[in-house]
Amino acid sequence: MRGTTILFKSSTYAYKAKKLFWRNGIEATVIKLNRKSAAGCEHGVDIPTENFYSAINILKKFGIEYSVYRGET
Amino acid sequence: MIYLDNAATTLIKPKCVIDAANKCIKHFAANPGRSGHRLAQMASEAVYECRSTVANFLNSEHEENVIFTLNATHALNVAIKGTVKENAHVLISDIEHNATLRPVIALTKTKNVSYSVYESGENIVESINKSIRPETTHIICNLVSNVSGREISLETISNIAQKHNLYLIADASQKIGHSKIDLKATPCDCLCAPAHKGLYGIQGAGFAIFKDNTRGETIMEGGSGADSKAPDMPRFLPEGYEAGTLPTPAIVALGAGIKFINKVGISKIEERIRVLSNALNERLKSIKGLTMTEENDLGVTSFNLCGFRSEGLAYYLNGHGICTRAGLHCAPLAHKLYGTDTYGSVRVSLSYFNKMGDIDYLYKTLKELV
Repeated sequence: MRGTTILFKSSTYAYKAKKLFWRNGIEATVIKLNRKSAAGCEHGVDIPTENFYSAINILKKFGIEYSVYRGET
Repeated sequence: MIYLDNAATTLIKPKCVIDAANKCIKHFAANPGRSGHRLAQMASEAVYECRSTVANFLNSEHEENVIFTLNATHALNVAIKGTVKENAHVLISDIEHNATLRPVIALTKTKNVSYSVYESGENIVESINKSIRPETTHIICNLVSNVSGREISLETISNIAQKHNLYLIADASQKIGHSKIDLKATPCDCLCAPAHKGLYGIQGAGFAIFKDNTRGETIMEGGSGADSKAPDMPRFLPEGYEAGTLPTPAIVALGAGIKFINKVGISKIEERIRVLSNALNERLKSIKGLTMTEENDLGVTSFNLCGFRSEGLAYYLNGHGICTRAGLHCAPLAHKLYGTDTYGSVRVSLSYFNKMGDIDYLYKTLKELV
Protein backbone atom coordinates (compact mmCIF):
# COMPACT_ATOMS: atom_id res chain seq x y z
CA MET A 1 0.00 0.00 0.00
CA ARG A 2 1.20 3.53 -0.67
CA GLY A 3 -1.25 5.76 1.12
CA THR A 4 -0.70 7.97 4.10
CA THR A 5 1.58 6.92 6.92
CA ILE A 6 0.71 7.72 10.50
CA LEU A 7 3.56 7.49 12.97
CA PHE A 8 3.51 6.19 16.51
CA LYS A 9 5.91 6.35 19.39
CA SER A 10 6.52 2.59 19.37
CA SER A 11 5.46 -0.61 17.66
CA THR A 12 2.94 -1.30 20.45
CA TYR A 13 0.94 1.80 19.53
CA ALA A 14 1.28 1.09 15.84
CA TYR A 15 -0.28 -2.35 16.33
CA LYS A 16 -2.95 -0.92 18.60
CA ALA A 17 -3.83 1.61 15.90
CA LYS A 18 -3.87 -1.11 13.27
CA LYS A 19 -6.30 -3.15 15.37
CA LEU A 20 -8.58 -0.15 15.87
CA PHE A 21 -8.46 0.78 12.17
CA TRP A 22 -9.36 -2.75 11.07
CA ARG A 23 -12.23 -2.84 13.57
CA ASN A 24 -13.53 0.29 11.90
CA GLY A 25 -13.13 -1.05 8.40
CA ILE A 26 -9.91 0.76 7.52
CA GLU A 27 -7.27 -1.36 5.85
CA ALA A 28 -3.97 -0.78 7.63
CA THR A 29 -0.43 -2.11 7.48
CA VAL A 30 2.27 -1.64 10.10
CA ILE A 31 5.57 -0.55 8.61
CA LYS A 32 8.93 0.42 9.96
CA LEU A 33 10.33 3.51 8.34
CA ASN A 34 13.76 3.53 6.83
CA ARG A 35 14.34 7.03 8.08
CA LYS A 36 13.37 8.52 11.39
CA SER A 37 10.76 11.22 11.49
CA ALA A 38 11.33 14.48 13.28
CA ALA A 39 9.68 12.93 16.33
CA GLY A 40 12.27 10.18 16.38
CA CYS A 41 9.61 7.57 15.74
CA GLU A 42 10.21 4.67 13.41
CA HIS A 43 6.95 2.75 13.56
CA GLY A 44 4.11 3.69 11.32
CA VAL A 45 0.80 2.50 9.99
CA ASP A 46 0.05 2.88 6.32
CA ILE A 47 -3.61 3.57 5.51
CA PRO A 48 -5.47 4.54 2.33
CA THR A 49 -5.37 8.33 2.05
CA GLU A 50 -9.15 8.56 1.70
CA ASN A 51 -9.47 7.09 5.23
CA PHE A 52 -7.10 9.60 6.76
CA TYR A 53 -9.64 11.74 8.65
CA SER A 54 -11.59 8.72 9.91
CA ALA A 55 -8.33 7.22 11.15
CA ILE A 56 -7.32 10.41 12.94
CA ASN A 57 -10.73 10.58 14.62
CA ILE A 58 -10.30 7.03 15.89
CA LEU A 59 -6.88 7.85 17.31
CA LYS A 60 -8.24 10.96 19.01
CA LYS A 61 -11.15 9.00 20.44
CA PHE A 62 -8.79 6.48 22.01
CA GLY A 63 -6.21 9.08 23.05
CA ILE A 64 -3.39 7.58 21.01
CA GLU A 65 -0.55 9.98 20.21
CA TYR A 66 0.44 10.12 16.56
CA SER A 67 2.15 12.21 13.93
CA VAL A 68 1.85 12.16 10.16
CA TYR A 69 4.80 11.18 7.98
CA ARG A 70 5.18 13.03 4.73
CA GLY A 71 8.30 11.49 3.28
CA GLU A 72 9.14 8.31 1.45
CA THR A 73 8.62 5.07 3.25
CA MET B 1 5.73 -39.01 38.52
CA ILE B 2 2.90 -37.32 40.39
CA TYR B 3 3.58 -33.62 40.09
CA LEU B 4 2.33 -31.60 43.06
CA ASP B 5 4.69 -28.62 42.82
CA ASN B 6 2.57 -26.39 40.63
CA ALA B 7 2.97 -23.34 42.87
CA ALA B 8 6.63 -23.33 41.82
CA THR B 9 5.85 -23.87 38.16
CA THR B 10 3.21 -25.89 36.35
CA LEU B 11 4.84 -28.90 34.72
CA ILE B 12 2.11 -30.11 32.40
CA LYS B 13 1.44 -27.56 29.68
CA PRO B 14 -1.49 -27.63 27.28
CA LYS B 15 -0.56 -28.84 23.80
CA CYS B 16 -1.53 -25.46 22.33
CA VAL B 17 1.14 -23.77 24.51
CA ILE B 18 3.89 -26.13 23.37
CA ASP B 19 2.77 -25.80 19.75
CA ALA B 20 2.70 -21.99 19.97
CA ALA B 21 6.20 -21.80 21.48
CA ASN B 22 7.54 -24.29 18.92
CA LYS B 23 5.98 -22.43 16.02
CA CYS B 24 7.43 -19.15 17.25
CA ILE B 25 10.94 -20.57 17.73
CA LYS B 26 10.87 -22.27 14.35
CA HIS B 27 9.29 -19.55 12.27
CA PHE B 28 9.28 -16.01 13.64
CA ALA B 29 11.32 -15.55 16.81
CA ALA B 30 12.99 -12.46 15.38
CA ASN B 31 13.49 -9.39 17.57
CA PRO B 32 10.13 -7.68 18.20
CA GLY B 33 9.79 -3.90 17.98
CA ARG B 34 13.17 -3.39 16.39
CA SER B 35 13.78 -4.32 12.76
CA GLY B 36 11.32 -3.72 9.96
CA HIS B 37 11.59 -7.01 8.07
CA ARG B 38 8.69 -9.41 7.82
CA LEU B 39 9.83 -11.79 10.57
CA ALA B 40 10.48 -8.97 13.04
CA GLN B 41 7.03 -7.61 12.26
CA MET B 42 5.49 -11.04 12.88
CA ALA B 43 7.26 -11.16 16.24
CA SER B 44 6.11 -7.61 17.07
CA GLU B 45 2.53 -8.42 16.19
CA ALA B 46 2.62 -11.65 18.23
CA VAL B 47 3.92 -9.74 21.26
CA TYR B 48 1.25 -7.09 20.78
CA GLU B 49 -1.47 -9.75 20.52
CA CYS B 50 -0.28 -11.26 23.78
CA ARG B 51 -0.48 -7.84 25.47
CA SER B 52 -4.07 -7.64 24.29
CA THR B 53 -4.79 -11.17 25.49
CA VAL B 54 -3.40 -10.40 28.95
CA ALA B 55 -5.33 -7.11 29.19
CA ASN B 56 -8.60 -8.72 28.04
CA PHE B 57 -8.13 -11.60 30.45
CA LEU B 58 -7.94 -9.12 33.32
CA ASN B 59 -10.75 -6.97 31.90
CA SER B 60 -8.54 -4.00 31.10
CA GLU B 61 -8.76 -2.00 27.88
CA HIS B 62 -5.16 -0.85 28.07
CA GLU B 63 -2.88 -3.45 26.55
CA GLU B 64 -0.19 -0.76 26.25
CA ASN B 65 0.01 -0.79 30.05
CA VAL B 66 1.05 -4.45 30.09
CA ILE B 67 4.81 -4.69 30.45
CA PHE B 68 6.56 -7.97 29.91
CA THR B 69 9.23 -9.08 32.34
CA LEU B 70 11.26 -12.20 32.96
CA ASN B 71 9.02 -13.44 35.77
CA ALA B 72 6.79 -12.17 38.60
CA THR B 73 9.77 -11.29 40.80
CA HIS B 74 11.11 -9.05 38.05
CA ALA B 75 7.67 -7.48 37.62
CA LEU B 76 7.38 -6.81 41.37
CA ASN B 77 10.87 -5.28 41.44
CA VAL B 78 9.92 -2.98 38.54
CA ALA B 79 6.67 -1.97 40.25
CA ILE B 80 8.05 -1.52 43.76
CA LYS B 81 11.38 0.13 42.95
CA GLY B 82 9.83 2.15 40.15
CA THR B 83 7.04 3.74 42.18
CA VAL B 84 8.09 3.88 45.86
CA LYS B 85 9.78 7.20 46.53
CA GLU B 86 12.35 8.28 49.12
CA ASN B 87 11.27 8.33 52.77
CA ALA B 88 7.97 6.65 51.94
CA HIS B 89 6.22 4.19 54.22
CA VAL B 90 4.95 0.96 52.68
CA LEU B 91 2.49 -1.63 53.96
CA ILE B 92 3.06 -5.30 53.21
CA SER B 93 1.10 -8.33 54.36
CA ASP B 94 2.31 -11.09 56.64
CA ILE B 95 2.16 -13.60 53.77
CA GLU B 96 4.44 -11.80 51.31
CA HIS B 97 6.92 -13.72 49.23
CA ASN B 98 10.55 -12.61 49.12
CA ALA B 99 9.76 -11.22 45.66
CA THR B 100 8.10 -8.37 47.56
CA LEU B 101 9.85 -8.46 50.91
CA ARG B 102 13.39 -8.24 49.57
CA PRO B 103 12.84 -5.30 47.19
CA VAL B 104 11.11 -3.44 50.04
CA ILE B 105 13.99 -4.20 52.40
CA ALA B 106 16.44 -3.08 49.71
CA LEU B 107 14.58 0.25 49.55
CA THR B 108 14.99 0.73 53.30
CA LYS B 109 18.73 0.89 52.60
CA THR B 110 18.75 2.91 49.37
CA LYS B 111 15.78 5.27 49.79
CA ASN B 112 15.22 5.40 53.53
CA VAL B 113 11.89 3.68 53.03
CA SER B 114 10.14 2.18 56.06
CA TYR B 115 7.56 -0.57 56.10
CA SER B 116 4.97 -2.18 58.35
CA VAL B 117 3.52 -5.67 58.14
CA TYR B 118 -0.26 -5.99 58.34
CA GLU B 119 -2.23 -9.09 59.28
CA SER B 120 -3.76 -11.02 56.40
CA GLY B 121 -6.36 -12.83 58.49
CA GLU B 122 -9.75 -11.78 59.80
CA ASN B 123 -8.39 -8.54 61.26
CA ILE B 124 -6.97 -7.34 57.96
CA VAL B 125 -8.93 -4.09 57.71
CA GLU B 126 -8.29 -3.12 61.30
CA SER B 127 -4.64 -4.08 61.00
CA ILE B 128 -4.13 -1.98 57.86
CA ASN B 129 -5.97 0.99 59.32
CA LYS B 130 -3.77 0.85 62.40
CA SER B 131 -0.59 0.71 60.28
CA ILE B 132 -1.33 3.66 58.00
CA ARG B 133 0.79 6.73 58.69
CA PRO B 134 0.81 10.18 57.08
CA GLU B 135 3.83 9.12 54.99
CA THR B 136 2.27 5.81 53.83
CA THR B 137 2.13 5.75 50.04
CA HIS B 138 1.87 2.09 49.07
CA ILE B 139 0.07 -1.07 50.04
CA ILE B 140 1.43 -4.33 48.65
CA CYS B 141 -0.49 -7.54 48.81
CA ASN B 142 0.11 -11.18 47.98
CA LEU B 143 -3.33 -12.29 46.79
CA VAL B 144 -2.73 -15.97 47.65
CA SER B 145 0.01 -17.27 49.93
CA ASN B 146 2.45 -19.64 48.29
CA VAL B 147 2.87 -21.36 51.66
CA SER B 148 -0.66 -21.92 52.87
CA GLY B 149 -3.02 -20.86 50.11
CA ARG B 150 -4.47 -18.12 52.32
CA GLU B 151 -6.25 -15.56 50.20
CA ILE B 152 -6.38 -11.80 50.58
CA SER B 153 -9.44 -10.39 48.87
CA LEU B 154 -8.46 -8.02 46.09
CA GLU B 155 -11.80 -6.31 46.54
CA THR B 156 -11.08 -5.58 50.21
CA ILE B 157 -7.59 -4.34 49.59
CA SER B 158 -8.62 -2.32 46.55
CA ASN B 159 -11.32 -0.55 48.57
CA ILE B 160 -8.85 0.26 51.34
CA ALA B 161 -6.29 1.55 48.84
CA GLN B 162 -8.86 3.81 47.16
CA LYS B 163 -10.19 5.08 50.48
CA HIS B 164 -6.74 6.07 51.72
CA ASN B 165 -5.34 7.04 48.32
CA LEU B 166 -2.61 4.40 48.50
CA TYR B 167 -0.81 2.93 45.50
CA LEU B 168 -1.79 -0.74 45.35
CA ILE B 169 0.60 -3.39 44.03
CA ALA B 170 -0.81 -6.92 43.91
CA ASP B 171 1.18 -10.13 43.57
CA ALA B 172 -1.13 -12.51 41.72
CA SER B 173 1.42 -15.31 41.30
CA GLN B 174 -0.68 -18.00 42.99
CA LYS B 175 -4.10 -16.65 42.07
CA ILE B 176 -3.90 -15.94 38.38
CA GLY B 177 -5.35 -18.68 36.23
CA HIS B 178 -7.04 -20.31 39.24
CA SER B 179 -9.73 -17.71 39.76
CA LYS B 180 -11.02 -14.65 37.99
CA ILE B 181 -9.36 -11.27 38.37
CA ASP B 182 -11.30 -8.27 37.10
CA LEU B 183 -9.36 -5.04 37.18
CA LYS B 184 -12.41 -2.98 36.29
CA ALA B 185 -14.38 -4.29 39.25
CA THR B 186 -11.39 -4.29 41.59
CA PRO B 187 -8.98 -1.56 40.48
CA CYS B 188 -5.32 -2.02 41.20
CA ASP B 189 -2.44 0.33 40.35
CA CYS B 190 -0.22 -2.55 39.37
CA LEU B 191 -0.77 -6.30 39.25
CA CYS B 192 2.18 -8.65 38.75
CA ALA B 193 2.17 -12.28 37.68
CA PRO B 194 4.34 -14.99 36.15
CA ALA B 195 3.56 -16.74 32.87
CA HIS B 196 4.65 -20.21 33.92
CA LYS B 197 2.34 -21.01 36.83
CA GLY B 198 -1.45 -20.91 36.61
CA LEU B 199 -1.36 -19.40 33.13
CA TYR B 200 0.46 -22.48 31.78
CA GLY B 201 3.08 -20.53 29.88
CA ILE B 202 6.74 -21.48 29.89
CA GLN B 203 9.50 -20.14 32.12
CA GLY B 204 11.10 -16.88 31.03
CA ALA B 205 8.17 -14.46 31.04
CA GLY B 206 6.02 -12.56 33.49
CA PHE B 207 4.20 -9.28 33.38
CA ALA B 208 2.98 -6.26 35.27
CA ILE B 209 -0.16 -4.43 34.25
CA PHE B 210 -0.31 -0.81 35.37
CA LYS B 211 -3.31 1.48 35.67
CA ASP B 212 -1.36 4.51 34.42
CA ASN B 213 0.72 4.78 31.29
CA THR B 214 3.57 6.85 32.73
CA ARG B 215 6.56 4.97 34.00
CA GLY B 216 8.31 5.59 37.29
CA GLU B 217 11.99 4.98 37.92
CA THR B 218 13.60 2.21 35.94
CA ILE B 219 15.59 -0.66 37.40
CA MET B 220 17.18 -1.49 34.06
CA GLU B 221 17.99 0.63 31.04
CA GLY B 222 18.86 -0.26 27.48
CA GLY B 223 17.44 -0.62 24.01
CA SER B 224 13.68 -0.33 23.77
CA GLY B 225 12.99 -0.02 20.06
CA ALA B 226 11.51 3.43 20.66
CA ASP B 227 12.93 6.94 20.85
CA SER B 228 16.45 5.58 20.31
CA LYS B 229 18.16 8.98 20.24
CA ALA B 230 17.01 9.91 23.74
CA PRO B 231 19.48 9.26 26.55
CA ASP B 232 16.75 7.94 28.86
CA MET B 233 14.22 5.18 28.60
CA PRO B 234 10.89 6.32 27.09
CA ARG B 235 8.54 7.93 29.62
CA PHE B 236 5.60 5.85 28.41
CA LEU B 237 4.65 2.21 28.78
CA PRO B 238 5.28 -0.50 27.84
CA GLU B 239 8.65 0.29 26.26
CA GLY B 240 9.67 2.55 29.18
CA TYR B 241 10.11 -0.50 31.38
CA GLU B 242 11.16 -3.02 28.73
CA ALA B 243 14.93 -2.72 28.26
CA GLY B 244 16.52 -5.29 26.00
CA THR B 245 15.13 -8.06 23.85
CA LEU B 246 11.86 -9.56 25.02
CA PRO B 247 11.49 -13.34 25.45
CA THR B 248 9.18 -13.68 22.43
CA PRO B 249 8.66 -17.49 22.56
CA ALA B 250 7.73 -17.31 26.26
CA ILE B 251 5.39 -14.38 25.60
CA VAL B 252 3.72 -16.24 22.75
CA ALA B 253 3.36 -19.29 25.03
CA LEU B 254 1.76 -17.07 27.67
CA GLY B 255 -0.80 -15.88 25.15
CA ALA B 256 -1.58 -19.49 24.21
CA GLY B 257 -1.90 -20.42 27.90
CA ILE B 258 -4.47 -17.70 28.49
CA LYS B 259 -6.38 -18.74 25.38
CA PHE B 260 -6.42 -22.29 26.76
CA ILE B 261 -7.86 -21.01 30.05
CA ASN B 262 -10.48 -18.97 28.21
CA LYS B 263 -11.42 -22.02 26.16
CA VAL B 264 -11.77 -24.29 29.20
CA GLY B 265 -13.39 -21.53 31.24
CA ILE B 266 -11.91 -20.02 34.38
CA SER B 267 -14.92 -21.10 36.42
CA LYS B 268 -14.40 -24.73 35.38
CA ILE B 269 -10.72 -24.53 36.36
CA GLU B 270 -11.63 -22.91 39.67
CA GLU B 271 -14.14 -25.68 40.36
CA ARG B 272 -11.64 -28.44 39.51
CA ILE B 273 -9.03 -26.90 41.84
CA ARG B 274 -11.67 -26.49 44.56
CA VAL B 275 -12.79 -30.13 44.36
CA LEU B 276 -9.20 -31.42 44.37
CA SER B 277 -8.25 -29.07 47.23
CA ASN B 278 -11.17 -30.18 49.37
CA ALA B 279 -10.28 -33.83 48.77
CA LEU B 280 -6.65 -33.06 49.66
CA ASN B 281 -7.73 -31.30 52.86
CA GLU B 282 -9.94 -34.19 53.95
CA ARG B 283 -7.28 -36.80 53.34
CA LEU B 284 -4.44 -34.87 54.95
CA LYS B 285 -6.53 -34.03 58.01
CA SER B 286 -7.28 -37.68 58.58
CA ILE B 287 -3.60 -38.59 58.94
CA LYS B 288 -2.55 -38.83 62.55
CA GLY B 289 0.24 -36.45 63.50
CA LEU B 290 -0.13 -34.31 60.39
CA THR B 291 -0.53 -30.55 60.83
CA MET B 292 -1.60 -28.34 57.96
CA THR B 293 -0.69 -24.66 57.82
CA GLU B 294 -4.21 -23.79 56.74
CA GLU B 295 -7.16 -25.36 54.94
CA ASN B 296 -8.26 -23.72 51.74
CA ASP B 297 -9.67 -24.56 48.35
CA LEU B 298 -7.19 -22.63 46.21
CA GLY B 299 -4.82 -25.44 45.35
CA VAL B 300 -1.92 -24.62 47.68
CA THR B 301 -1.32 -26.00 51.15
CA SER B 302 1.58 -27.18 53.23
CA PHE B 303 1.96 -29.48 56.19
CA ASN B 304 4.27 -31.15 58.64
CA LEU B 305 4.19 -34.68 59.94
CA CYS B 306 5.15 -35.31 63.55
CA GLY B 307 8.59 -36.86 63.80
CA PHE B 308 9.74 -35.84 60.32
CA ARG B 309 11.64 -32.86 58.99
CA SER B 310 10.01 -31.39 55.89
CA GLU B 311 13.06 -32.11 53.69
CA GLY B 312 13.11 -35.73 54.80
CA LEU B 313 9.44 -36.09 54.12
CA ALA B 314 9.71 -34.58 50.64
CA TYR B 315 12.69 -36.87 49.99
CA TYR B 316 10.57 -39.86 50.98
CA LEU B 317 7.72 -38.70 48.71
CA ASN B 318 10.17 -38.14 45.85
CA GLY B 319 11.32 -41.72 46.32
CA HIS B 320 7.71 -42.75 45.72
CA GLY B 321 7.42 -40.62 42.59
CA ILE B 322 5.69 -37.62 44.17
CA CYS B 323 7.08 -34.13 43.53
CA THR B 324 6.47 -31.66 46.35
CA ARG B 325 8.50 -28.81 47.80
CA ALA B 326 10.01 -28.76 51.29
CA GLY B 327 11.62 -26.16 53.53
CA LEU B 328 10.98 -22.44 53.63
CA HIS B 329 9.16 -21.40 50.50
CA CYS B 330 10.88 -18.02 50.01
CA ALA B 331 8.27 -16.57 52.34
CA PRO B 332 9.76 -16.10 55.83
CA LEU B 333 6.92 -13.89 57.06
CA ALA B 334 4.34 -16.57 56.27
CA HIS B 335 6.41 -19.28 57.95
CA LYS B 336 6.69 -17.11 61.04
CA LEU B 337 2.92 -16.68 61.00
CA TYR B 338 2.39 -20.45 60.94
CA GLY B 339 5.24 -21.27 63.33
CA THR B 340 7.11 -23.21 60.64
CA ASP B 341 10.03 -20.80 60.31
CA THR B 342 12.57 -23.23 61.79
CA TYR B 343 12.10 -26.30 59.62
CA GLY B 344 9.61 -25.15 57.02
CA SER B 345 6.88 -27.40 55.68
CA VAL B 346 6.05 -29.72 52.80
CA ARG B 347 4.01 -27.91 50.19
CA VAL B 348 1.49 -29.57 47.91
CA SER B 349 0.20 -27.43 45.07
CA LEU B 350 -2.27 -28.35 42.36
CA SER B 351 -3.06 -27.48 38.79
CA TYR B 352 -5.99 -28.11 36.47
CA PHE B 353 -4.14 -31.16 35.16
CA ASN B 354 -3.98 -32.99 38.49
CA LYS B 355 -6.35 -35.89 39.01
CA MET B 356 -8.09 -37.27 42.06
CA GLY B 357 -5.81 -40.29 41.74
CA ASP B 358 -2.82 -38.02 42.46
CA ILE B 359 -4.36 -36.98 45.77
CA ASP B 360 -5.22 -40.59 46.62
CA TYR B 361 -1.70 -41.75 45.87
CA LEU B 362 -0.20 -39.00 48.06
CA TYR B 363 -2.57 -39.99 50.87
CA LYS B 364 -1.74 -43.69 50.52
CA THR B 365 2.01 -42.97 50.49
CA LEU B 366 1.81 -40.79 53.61
CA LYS B 367 -0.37 -43.34 55.41
CA GLU B 368 2.14 -46.07 54.68
CA LEU B 369 4.86 -43.94 56.24
CA VAL B 370 2.82 -43.23 59.34
